[in-house]
Amino acid sequence: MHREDDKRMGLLSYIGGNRKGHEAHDLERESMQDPFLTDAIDGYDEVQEPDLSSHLRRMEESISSFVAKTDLMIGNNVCNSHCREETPDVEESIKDAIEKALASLQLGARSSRYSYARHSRERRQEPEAKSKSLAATTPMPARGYKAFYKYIYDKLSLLFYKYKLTSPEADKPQNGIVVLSFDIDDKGRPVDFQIIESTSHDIAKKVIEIIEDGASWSPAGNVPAFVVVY
Amino acid sequence: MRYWIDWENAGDEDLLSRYIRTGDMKYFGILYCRYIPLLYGLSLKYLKTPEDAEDAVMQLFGDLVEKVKRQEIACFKNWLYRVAGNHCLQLLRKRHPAMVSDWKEEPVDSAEFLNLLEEHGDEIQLKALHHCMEHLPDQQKNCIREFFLAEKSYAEISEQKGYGLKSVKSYIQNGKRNLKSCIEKTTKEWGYCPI
Repeated sequence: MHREDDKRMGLLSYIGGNRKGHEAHDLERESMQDPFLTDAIDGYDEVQEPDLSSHLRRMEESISSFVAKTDLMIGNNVCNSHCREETPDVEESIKDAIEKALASLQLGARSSRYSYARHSRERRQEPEAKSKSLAATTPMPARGYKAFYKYIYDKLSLLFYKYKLTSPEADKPQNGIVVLSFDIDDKGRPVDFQIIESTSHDIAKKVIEIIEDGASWSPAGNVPAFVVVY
Repeated sequence: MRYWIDWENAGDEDLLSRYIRTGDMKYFGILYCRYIPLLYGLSLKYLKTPEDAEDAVMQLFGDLVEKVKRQEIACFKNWLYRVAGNHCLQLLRKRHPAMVSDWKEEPVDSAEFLNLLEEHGDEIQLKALHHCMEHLPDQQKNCIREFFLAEKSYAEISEQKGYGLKSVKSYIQNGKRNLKSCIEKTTKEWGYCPI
């Protein structure tokens, strides 16, 4: 067992009420050289809550399910299209994502989303050289789409987790889609967001906040349709 | 939960570098879960309620998922302690904007000093210890003796001596501080290297 896991078990036993005997003394002795442990013990002493271990268990389970969920989301979403290609066709992946999202949401194929997809398909049929030059001038997140989508889904999963925590009976948020258009300014920051399509306006606003807090992009230009499927 | 079993023996830095290299969340999940009891206790200390503390721990997880990839982290535990402490302070500042104090790490004692309090040291150090113990207030002296020599826990000392748990910790803390300064002064006067 890793030493920190060992210490963790000791702390769990301690906060579970085993505050007497050598094990308790040894943990307290250890805390004198471990400020993190000192603060933690102070915290548990501070709060008189009979079932603190259920909070701990819930957090561990949430992170465990978050990890599993993130794997699933990354595997099933647009990110995967980018992961497979060394030089991803951004528009192609976005189009695929829109079509998959539409199918999963059972929405009609209509509006600007679909026209964007059709536009993308037409582009695909153009000569290869033109397609490459498009990829070179399309703004990209600093560390690529794979990392950027992973960042977005990590943040979103946490948001959903928190929503469930505060409103356990609620059945929201359901699956949905957000399609945004925005510009990249000269400093590489995303600005002038437009919500092209969204299942939930609140979540679309959250996605915008997440993008605003995220990586810089380059070069400057327009991102015509950025898709997040959740 | 199978991830926890497969990787339970991995070191913090191994898990972290594997996470950064692969982007696979399971490694960071294992690493972070390892510290949840410490993080939760720390958050309880500053935020005072189980719900706020739980929110803080989960929020921090979300923040660190990306942040760890952008930072040079030599020792994950020390780094996490600082980041978590500052995170709690920021949350407190949101509630009380007038609060300006900075978060400070708890001071730590050296292994040599703690060993000395358990009466493991050379003759001159032990002599200085005994000399200084006699100058401590009774409550501090009692608690130091019970903790370091009788190896009693805080709760046991509290029960035996009739002091509150917080008082026991405080007597030990102040007792250590007083002893350290007294022993340093005394050994210096005796021409001996300080601890």
